[in-house]
Amino acid sequence: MPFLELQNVSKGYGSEISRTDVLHDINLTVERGEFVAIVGYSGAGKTTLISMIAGLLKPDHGTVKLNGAVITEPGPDRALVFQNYSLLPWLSVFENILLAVEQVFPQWPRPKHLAHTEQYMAMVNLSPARNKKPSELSGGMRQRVSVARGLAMDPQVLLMDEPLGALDALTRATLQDEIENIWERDKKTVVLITNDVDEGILLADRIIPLSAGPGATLGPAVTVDLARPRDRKAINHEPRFKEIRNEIITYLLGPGKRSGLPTSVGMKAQKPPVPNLKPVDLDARKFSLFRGGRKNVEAAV
Amino acid sequence: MKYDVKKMMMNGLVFPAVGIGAVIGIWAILSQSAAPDLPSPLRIWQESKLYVLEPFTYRGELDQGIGLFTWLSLKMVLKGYALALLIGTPTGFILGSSKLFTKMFDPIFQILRPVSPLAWYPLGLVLFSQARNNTSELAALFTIAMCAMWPTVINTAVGVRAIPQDYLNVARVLKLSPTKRLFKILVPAALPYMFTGYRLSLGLSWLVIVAIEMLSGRPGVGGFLWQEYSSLIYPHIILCIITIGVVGFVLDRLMSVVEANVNHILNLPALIQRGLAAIFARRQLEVSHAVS
Ligand SMILES: Nc1ncnc2c1ncn2[C@@H]1O[C@H](COP(=O)(O)OP(=O)(O)OP(=O)(O)O)[C@@H](O)[C@H]1O
Ligand SMILES: [Mg+2]
Repeated sequence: MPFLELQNVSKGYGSEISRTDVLHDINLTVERGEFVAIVGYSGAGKTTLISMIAGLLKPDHGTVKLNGAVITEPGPDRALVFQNYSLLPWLSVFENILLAVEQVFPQWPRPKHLAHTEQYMAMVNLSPARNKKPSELSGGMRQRVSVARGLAMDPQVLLMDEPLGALDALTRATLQDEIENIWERDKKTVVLITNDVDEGILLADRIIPLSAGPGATLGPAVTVDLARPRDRKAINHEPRFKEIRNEIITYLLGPGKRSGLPTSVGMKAQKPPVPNLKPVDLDARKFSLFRGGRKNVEAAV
Repeated sequence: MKYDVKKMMMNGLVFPAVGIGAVIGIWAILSQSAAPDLPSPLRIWQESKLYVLEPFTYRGELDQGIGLFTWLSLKMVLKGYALALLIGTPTGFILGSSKLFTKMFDPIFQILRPVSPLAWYPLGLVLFSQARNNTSELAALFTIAMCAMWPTVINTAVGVRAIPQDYLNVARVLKLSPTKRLFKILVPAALPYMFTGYRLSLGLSWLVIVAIEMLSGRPGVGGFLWQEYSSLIYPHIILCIITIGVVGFVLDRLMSVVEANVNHILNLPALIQRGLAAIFARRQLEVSHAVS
C-alpha cells in the first residue's frame, strides 16, 4: 500500500457554468520516506494540488489517501509550509513556532515545548530575531520561520509550497542544504513544490513536472538516481544531472506547455504561459550562512 | 531627531488660542448686538466661577461643582459602556462569523440602530419598573447599551469577516480547538477593528447619557443643564455645553491612544508571562542551589 496516494484527482474553481478544471486527472503515489518534488508553471495549480493533500481543499473527483485513509480535513500530521508564509502577525517568531509545537505535542511539559521551539528556531538561524514580529522580518526570514514551524511539527508528511521562492540565491542555497540535512536525518516523507528544477533535482528522490493549466496534469516522473549526499557543486558536472534536467525541461516546454483541456473559445485568447524556470549558476551558491558557512567562504577566498 | 519647538508651540498653543479668542470675541459682540438673550462670555464666567473653581463641592443634589456632576455622568457612562461592549462584542463575533446569523438578524440590527436614546429610555423605565429605587438607573444603562453597542457590533463583525483566509488555514492545519481558534486567531486578528468600534461606542455613550439625564432629571451634567434651563440660569447652559464637549473630546483622545497601541496591548500578557517565567526560573535556580 502506498503511503500517500492521489487517484484521478480533479479540481476546479468557480460556479457550474464558468467552471474549468484547474487540475485534471492527477495520479501520484509517494512512498514512506520518499522526497518528491513537483515543478510547474506559475498558476498551473501547484498550490491547489498541495492544498488538497493538506486537506484544506476537497477534490471534485478522485481521492487523496494517506496510509490508506481518505483525507477529509487538515491535520498536524501533514504540516504545510505555506507559499505566503501565513505567519500570525501578532505573534513573535518564537511564539509562531511555539503555537504549532504546543498544538502538536499537547502531552509535553512546558519546558520541552520551549526547548523544542528553541531548537528549530536555531536551526533556521533565527534565534537573534526570536522576539521580532513578522512585520519586522525580511521576506526570507519569514520564510525561514514558516519552514521552521513546519519542521517543528514533526509531521508524517511535510508539504512545502515553494518554501524558498522569495529567497535570494545565497540564502536559498543555504536552506536547501538545511532541508537536505534534515531529510537525511529523519527521512521524512516530503512533497516539495518548486519552480526551480535544479532545486528539485538537488533535493528529491523523484521529480515530477506539472503541465500548464487549465486542466494541468502530472507529466512523467523522473527518478533522481544521484548519490546522496549531493554536493551542489559536484552535481552540476554529472551527466545524469544534465539528463534529468533536460528531461523535465523538455517536457515542460514541449507537451507540458499545452493546456490539458481541449481548447475552447475562451482559452484561445490566452497568452502562452511563460515557464517559471530560473537558470542559475550553481557554482556561485556554495555559501552557507549557517554552521561553518563563513569558513567555507574564507577557504574559497 | 530635532523638534521644531517654535513650530510645535505655534501649532499646539498659539493658533488654537487665536481661534478660541476669535470665537469669544464674536460671541461677545453678538451678545451685545444681534442676540441679546445670549449671555456674554464675561457673564458666563462670573456666574459659573463657583462651579468651576470649586468643582468638587456638594451643596445639594442638583447644586454641585461641575467636577462632581461630570463624575456622576461618567460613572453612568462607564457602566452603560461596559454593558454595551459586553453585549456588542460577542454579537459582533457571531454576526461576523455566521452567514445564517447575518441573514437572520442584520435587518433587525439595521432597524434598531438609528433609534434615538429618547425612544429607548421610556421602554427601559417600563422594563425595570419592578426595581423599586433604581428603575431610572437601570433604564439609563439599558438605553446606553442599546444605543452605544452598534459601532462595536458592526466593527467587530467587519473585523472578523476581514480575517485573511491564511490565518484561518493555519488554525485548520494546526487543528486549533474552537476556543483556541477564537482567542489565538480571531480575537487578535479582529482587535484593531474592535477598538475602532469601542472608541465610537464610547462617544455614543457620552452622547446618550446627557440626553437621558435631561429627560430624567438625574443628577449629572445633562441633568444640571436642564435644571438650570428650567430655573432660567442661562449662563450655566453654556458651562454645561463646554463641559460636555471637553469631556467628550478627552474620552475620544484617550480611546485613540488605546486604539493606536492595540498591538502593545496584545503584547501585555506575553510580557507579563515572560516576566513571571524569568522570576520563576530564578526561584527554581535558587531552590536547586539550596538543595545542592
Ligand atoms: N480560490 C480560488 N478561486 C478561483 N480560482 C482560483 C482560486 N485559487 C486558485 N485559483 C486559480 O487556479 C489556478 C491555479 O492556482 P494555484 O494557486 O494553485 O497556482 P500555483 O501553481 O500555485 O501558482 P504559483 O506558482 O504562482 O503559486 C490559477 O489559475 C488561479 O487563478
Ligand atoms: Mg502557488
